[in-house]
Amino acid sequence: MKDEIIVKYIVGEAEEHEVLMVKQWLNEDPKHLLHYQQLNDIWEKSAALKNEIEIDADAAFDKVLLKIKQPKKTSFSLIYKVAASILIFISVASVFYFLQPKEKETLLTNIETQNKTILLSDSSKVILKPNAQLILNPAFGKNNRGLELKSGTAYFKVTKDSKNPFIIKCENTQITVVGTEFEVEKNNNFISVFVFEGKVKFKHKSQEVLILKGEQYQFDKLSQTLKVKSNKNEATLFYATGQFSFNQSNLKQVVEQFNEYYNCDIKFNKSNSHLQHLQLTAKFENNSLEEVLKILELTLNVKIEKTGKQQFEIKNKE
Amino acid sequence: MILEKRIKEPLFNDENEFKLVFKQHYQSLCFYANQFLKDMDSSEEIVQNTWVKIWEKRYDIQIETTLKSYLYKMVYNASLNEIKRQKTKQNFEQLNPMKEGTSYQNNIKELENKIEKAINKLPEQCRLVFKMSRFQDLKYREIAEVLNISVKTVENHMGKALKLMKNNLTEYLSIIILILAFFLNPFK
Repeated sequence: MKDEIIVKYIVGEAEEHEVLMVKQWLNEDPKHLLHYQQLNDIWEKSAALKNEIEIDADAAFDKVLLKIKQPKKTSFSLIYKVAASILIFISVASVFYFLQPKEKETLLTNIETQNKTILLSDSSKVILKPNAQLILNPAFGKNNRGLELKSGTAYFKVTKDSKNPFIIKCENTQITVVGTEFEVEKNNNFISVFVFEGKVKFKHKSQEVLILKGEQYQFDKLSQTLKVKSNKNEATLFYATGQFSFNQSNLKQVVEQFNEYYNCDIKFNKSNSHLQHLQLTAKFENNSLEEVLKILELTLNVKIEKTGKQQFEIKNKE
Repeated sequence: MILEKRIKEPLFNDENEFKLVFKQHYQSLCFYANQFLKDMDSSEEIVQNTWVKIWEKRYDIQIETTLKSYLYKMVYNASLNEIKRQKTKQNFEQLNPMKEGTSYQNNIKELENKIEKAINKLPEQCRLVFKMSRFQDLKYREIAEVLNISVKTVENHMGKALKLMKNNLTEYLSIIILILAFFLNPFK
């Protein structure tokens, strides 16, 4: 086993098939395990060398602001005017708010074994993974885009509306969005947000981060902190984005992903099961199932036969 | 004839958003620059100037991988330029290549001390890649973008870095691991 792959596994950069490879290799020989343990130990221990001294980022930011421009001077009278009008607005709004009859929240649960796509009234799209639970605010719609992720994983494609932010509550954290695509995962240990497109604000009490394209942050429930995560593989979002990226992946894994996304059943011919180990390196973007199968046939030189409704079989080419 | 005017989305809508992102990355970027410049004040200055540029270009920045890799790339290039400037100015004043940025840790344990030495013994590019992965939490593809190398090369450097350090440290790696390895195999 090459050290590169073991290190990828340790760092968290390994792809699924590499993880399997490393695990198998580790079980083969205690010497392998020792080698892994030593590499891993160096990686873990070296983390302590990270400089932890605090630099005053606030002071530095003020310097940057000075360089950008002179700070704006707001006259007090203007502040009072604004404050007064906000106060009036709040009191009027609250009268309306309290006079409104209380409506009930809507609870959405995906009880199926497949992902479920929901179109919300503001035309945002949500894809719920199995067992995910979502609660919509009573008045969810044009003027209120609040909801809560109760459990599980959901992918959000939010319609842009800068006046009315889309706010997701997740336990004691809050995710604020204008218009973007991202995934939220909640489990017993953490709440994780991965941004596929655009940007998202992730907040817990006074801690707040702005997550940009390609970044992932996690709220760790034990330490109650927001931390950057670096091992999210965009390929795992295929269920929502329709984009597949394979890098020397086994055909078996490729087929599993297609089965999930296209809701089909692709099998290997019993006498040609060795085809499972064929390797594929390819990118697909919003292709139809027919196109995808055609490409597989041509690149891997196999035959794919239709055996029923949404059912296919991969076998040797005669 | 109608002229179509493209309105681009800025990277930050306001100063608050700008400040949030600034605070997320500022410290780590300063330590990164300090690796090259070995002087915290000029490192901070370079990083601050980078942010001024980011703000000025907030309507034009095209992010390829992540903003993070964009930031590190700018700081990396600015640091190298600064070194060049200093070198010509000081007429090749002796720079000690083995000396790394000031260590702020006071009570580094023995093994950590050894690890630090082992890191400093790594070949230059290999050491840089390792530090970016370990201390700046950059992904492989982000490191590749910053240094303008392929992801495969990053993988090679990382494999090499840990292997070299392991060879260097074998006698110091705690004996407990050796024993545990045989009895507590987590993969069985």
